[in-house]
Amino acid sequence: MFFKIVIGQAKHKWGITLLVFLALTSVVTLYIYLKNTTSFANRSMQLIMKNMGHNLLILPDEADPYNTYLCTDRQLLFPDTSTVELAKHVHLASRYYVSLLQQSIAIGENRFILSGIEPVPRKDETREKGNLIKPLKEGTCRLGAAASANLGLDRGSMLELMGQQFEIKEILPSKGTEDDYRIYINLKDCQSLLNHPGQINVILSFACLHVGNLEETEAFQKRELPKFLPGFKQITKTDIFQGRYFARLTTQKSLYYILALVFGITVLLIVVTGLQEVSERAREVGILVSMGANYFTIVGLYFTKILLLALVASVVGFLIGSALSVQLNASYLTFNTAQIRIVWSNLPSVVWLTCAVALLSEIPPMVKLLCMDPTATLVEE
Amino acid sequence: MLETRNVSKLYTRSGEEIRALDSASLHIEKGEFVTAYGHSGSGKSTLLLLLGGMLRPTSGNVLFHDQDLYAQSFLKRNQYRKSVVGFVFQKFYLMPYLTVYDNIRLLLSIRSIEHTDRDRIESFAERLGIAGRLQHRPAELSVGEQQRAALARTLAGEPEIILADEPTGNLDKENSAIIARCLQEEHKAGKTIILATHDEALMELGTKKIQLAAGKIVSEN
Repeated sequence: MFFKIVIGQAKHKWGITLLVFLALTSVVTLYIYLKNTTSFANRSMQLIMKNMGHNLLILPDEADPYNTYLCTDRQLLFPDTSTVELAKHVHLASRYYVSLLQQSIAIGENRFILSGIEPVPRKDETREKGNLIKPLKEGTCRLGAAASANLGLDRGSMLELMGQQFEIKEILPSKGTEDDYRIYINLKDCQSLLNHPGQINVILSFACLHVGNLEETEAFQKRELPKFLPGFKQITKTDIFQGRYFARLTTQKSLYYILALVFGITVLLIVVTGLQEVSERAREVGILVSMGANYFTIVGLYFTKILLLALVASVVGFLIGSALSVQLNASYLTFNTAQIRIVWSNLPSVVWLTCAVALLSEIPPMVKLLCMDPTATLVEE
Repeated sequence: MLETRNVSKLYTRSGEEIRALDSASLHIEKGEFVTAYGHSGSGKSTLLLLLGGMLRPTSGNVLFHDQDLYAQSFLKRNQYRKSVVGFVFQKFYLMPYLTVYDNIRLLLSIRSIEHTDRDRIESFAERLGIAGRLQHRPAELSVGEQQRAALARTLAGEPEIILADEPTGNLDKENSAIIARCLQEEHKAGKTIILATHDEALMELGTKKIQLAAGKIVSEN
């Protein structure tokens, strides 16, 4: 009988019921859409920024970065074990280390940058958060777009470097930087070709924002790095660093202000419609009291109704929000990360949260119900 | 059994004090049929609500078996409404979204006597001539049928005291007669009836008649 009254009340004032249901569904839909989209977009944006290149160069203190930028003959050499040492310290903001030995070389009439590379992983790096640079096996190479065009070689061809044959495994897309002229080979191959065993010119790295904002991260890194690698300095590629920071800010935070606005309006709507419904049902409350129903039961009717609405709305909103986020974003949110999908693990928390918000919003109407005089509407004279 | 001692009820409306009931004293024995009459605003409905444990008096006492109703806890008063009294209102006050059957069943459910509900509901519906209307909603019934359904709801709860507030105020003669007959039958079955009415024919049913004017009991016989 209790549920018959709950359903009867919901159907009787179907307009209010529908309005509350739609408001709850909308807020859950928006929440799930934003949560899914921002989480996947944030990851993708971060990876896009990451793929723009390393944002930190780590060099010996006495090295002039000019020589590194232009790949001159005056670049300093230091042991490649420095990178391994650095990778042991997981609390640093820098990660995704790559040891690089580079030298400008001529092939025919063209000049290229021979780049020996070796990614050095930190133990906390996951597959998805893997290094920007994929490792190269010995005897293989990877060409920048301009290098491939100038050499007239494509993937699968063989490239001769200083008398040694290298199989071309990959042609990189054009970046519009000196990287387009690079010929990447395994670090050990490069050290052997250039006769610099165990030596590199620079450590490439990527600073993550896990210690705070841009300035805090940079300050932290500058403070901590010399503790583990004395005699070295770091140079920040600020634009990439900032880009990554702004990508995080725009995709993660700002959209939630819209959610807060919609959330506030929804709560207000539940409160206002609840107050209105209690006023309209004052006579019913009076009748129930005259029959001997206690207030616990009467208040329970309203709480049960809003709870059922919230339960259904949260599931419907979850499904709509998830479907929208997948449908609208699946075509492009696939960048280097898992494709956007329905995150079922979010469902229990969404249901719980929606029910809690709905129940809390119903409190003011229930306070009004308990405070009003149930007999006022029963007296005819 | 039921008694009021110098009961007064004051309302304040738009800053103005209204004395709905003024030092009303009344003694009702078990099995009595009391009719209260008087002009509109004389305090009849207020008296019934006070007797039904619904409305706390401004002063005075309402006693049931010598126990002051309003000195008791809310829960005890609730228990009194649940198991002792049954209201019949002029405007029926059926739940609009429930069928007649469910309206009656609602009261049985509140009174925790659902286990015998189907037979009980059907027998009361039969008695009031609405057996064929049990699956209809109130809006689908005539005014007379609605009042008969409301009375069936009250009677199905088998209250010791029936408080009827102008139950025929909106009805034609035929339906008024049905209501009157039913109340008489309940009285003969030993129920205590307290009826507020304008209807002279109903007034005559009372074994005790009280007249109210401006909140005071002006005559009792």
